[in-house]
Amino acid sequence: MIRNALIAWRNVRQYRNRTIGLALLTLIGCVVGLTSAGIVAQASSATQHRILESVALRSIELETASNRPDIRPLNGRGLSDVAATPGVERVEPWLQASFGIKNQQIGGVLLYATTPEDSFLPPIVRSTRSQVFPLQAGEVVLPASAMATDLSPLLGTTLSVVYTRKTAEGVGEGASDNIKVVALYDPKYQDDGPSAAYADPALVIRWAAAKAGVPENSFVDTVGYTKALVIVQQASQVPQVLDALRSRGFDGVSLQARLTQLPASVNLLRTLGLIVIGLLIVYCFFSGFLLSGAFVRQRTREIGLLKALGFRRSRVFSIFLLELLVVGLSGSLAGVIAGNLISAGLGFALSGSTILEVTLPGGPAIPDWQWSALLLVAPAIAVLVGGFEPCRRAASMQPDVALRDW
Amino acid sequence: MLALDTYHVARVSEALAARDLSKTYSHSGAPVHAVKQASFALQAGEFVTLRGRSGSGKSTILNLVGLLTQPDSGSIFIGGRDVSHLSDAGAADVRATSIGFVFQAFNLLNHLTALENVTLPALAPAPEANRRAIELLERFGLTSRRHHLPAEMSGGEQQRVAAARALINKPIVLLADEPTGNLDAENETLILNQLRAAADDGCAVLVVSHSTTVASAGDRVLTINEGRIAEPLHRVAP
Repeated sequence: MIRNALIAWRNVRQYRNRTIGLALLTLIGCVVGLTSAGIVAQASSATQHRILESVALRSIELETASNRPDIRPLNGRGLSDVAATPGVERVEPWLQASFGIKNQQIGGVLLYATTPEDSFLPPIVRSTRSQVFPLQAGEVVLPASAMATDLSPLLGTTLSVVYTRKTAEGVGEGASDNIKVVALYDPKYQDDGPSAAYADPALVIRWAAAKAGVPENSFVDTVGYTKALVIVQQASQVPQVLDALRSRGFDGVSLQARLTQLPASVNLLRTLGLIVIGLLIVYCFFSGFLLSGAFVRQRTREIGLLKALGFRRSRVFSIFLLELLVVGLSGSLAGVIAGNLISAGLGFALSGSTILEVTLPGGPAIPDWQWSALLLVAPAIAVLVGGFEPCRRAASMQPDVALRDW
Repeated sequence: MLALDTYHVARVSEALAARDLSKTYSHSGAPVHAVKQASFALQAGEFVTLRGRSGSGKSTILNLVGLLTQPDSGSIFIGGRDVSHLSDAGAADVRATSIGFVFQAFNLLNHLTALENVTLPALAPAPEANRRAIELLERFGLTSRRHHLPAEMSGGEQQRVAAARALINKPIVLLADEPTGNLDAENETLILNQLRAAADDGCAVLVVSHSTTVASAGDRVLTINEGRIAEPLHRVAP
């Protein structure tokens, strides 16, 4: 076996000009496959980290329902009970109140003043200051456009808005207030509805209390908020906290739907990596077939000589297969080493880049070891499988045919 | 031609014996009778030259007795053992242990050194094979060339390496096809001396050659004509 391996190694060196192409392309294929695997691993890790640490995964959304007296209101006492529930980190109440803008520049538009939630702030596109939140008294963040109206001219202005004040059951009157527009957010962000305007919470409570016909200072304790976002200390506690809240009369759902979105993009990367590796293996198979076929044609005399010298068919066969194995393995080994290095380097280079909605963290992108093992073995096996039949035919040649004119 | 029972008695001491060998090839659908009932025998230590015109069947005879192809009929004995119809692996084993080949075109592997070419078919463990190869190269005057590649050697040197390779496993039979055909007179003499030495060591040497020098160096001459061998009963006078 050692002699066969030595002969195979010498043959590979002798015929390196003919085998270098296969080895190089195997190397390149491994590099591409491993680099994509490394980026997938890093993106996957980043996504997992983001999901596990995400507020969304640790969130429960509580909601009131006016037609459900069995559900507790999210008033002052209710929110205190929620906050006191074991496992709850904090509670972010949510309220909306409609208001109108009538302006010579933009005409009229109806918006919904919304309390901003620290965990889900809107993406700001323009602002009058770098740190928009928390909002000061009377400050508002408008969508850059709403109801087909460009609201950007209002940025930085103080303007009068109108809201409804309830005077009797089913009767109301208009009231006005002043707001200052300090920022505009991307209108594609519609987590709180298409016409939400994020406002100073005191302003929202004032307008909501007016619409409900209750004093502003007692609104929170009596009517309360429409919704509340409950942030749980650990994602694993969400089911128990949800059960506890439900048992205390609150109605809520967890926000784990976001879980299904991010892995989809990671899966796409992983699929791309698998396609590259699949193509590499197919390529290696056919290269092994063609290379060994060409070897048979070019080395007929050598085969005849070896057989004349007493080499058994199995020995000639194993020498040819060993040659292919050396070529395939040397290509894939170099490829795995280079692929890991390039992938690691690329991880640093792409630090902070966003690939398919996943922002890559800094540091080396090291592929999972299973990918390295797969890419080390699979191309070599594909080369062997591809070269099996030509090598078998070569080894089965009659020596007198191979040595036609000796 | 000797009677059959004589062959059986003689076979024990024969290094190589062919009995009624026939081989027919198909060429463009037509049968070509390359060898017709050829019978001959070589004793251990005999140096025999096989002569004949081109196409007379010399190479086919070498292929048959070298177990590179199987006869349609007839028998081949090497060291008294019938090797006519061995399996592929069995024939390979006999070639490895009992037969040495010297080719007209040398047929050395170009990427192996002289020493590596000689040890290529060696059956002994590596240290012993190396020792024997070095001995042979020394005997063939190639000690200083043992680490050279074939391309770095003359034709005569390459043929001497090929002859050393043929002897590495101490074969019973040495088969050579025009071993001096590509050599000058000086190298022809060197090769013939070595073939003679191999025969003197007990090896049966069968050489195909047109050369009268080769024929005169041997003990006997077999002549083949249209696939038939006429074997002289007496040794060629030295």
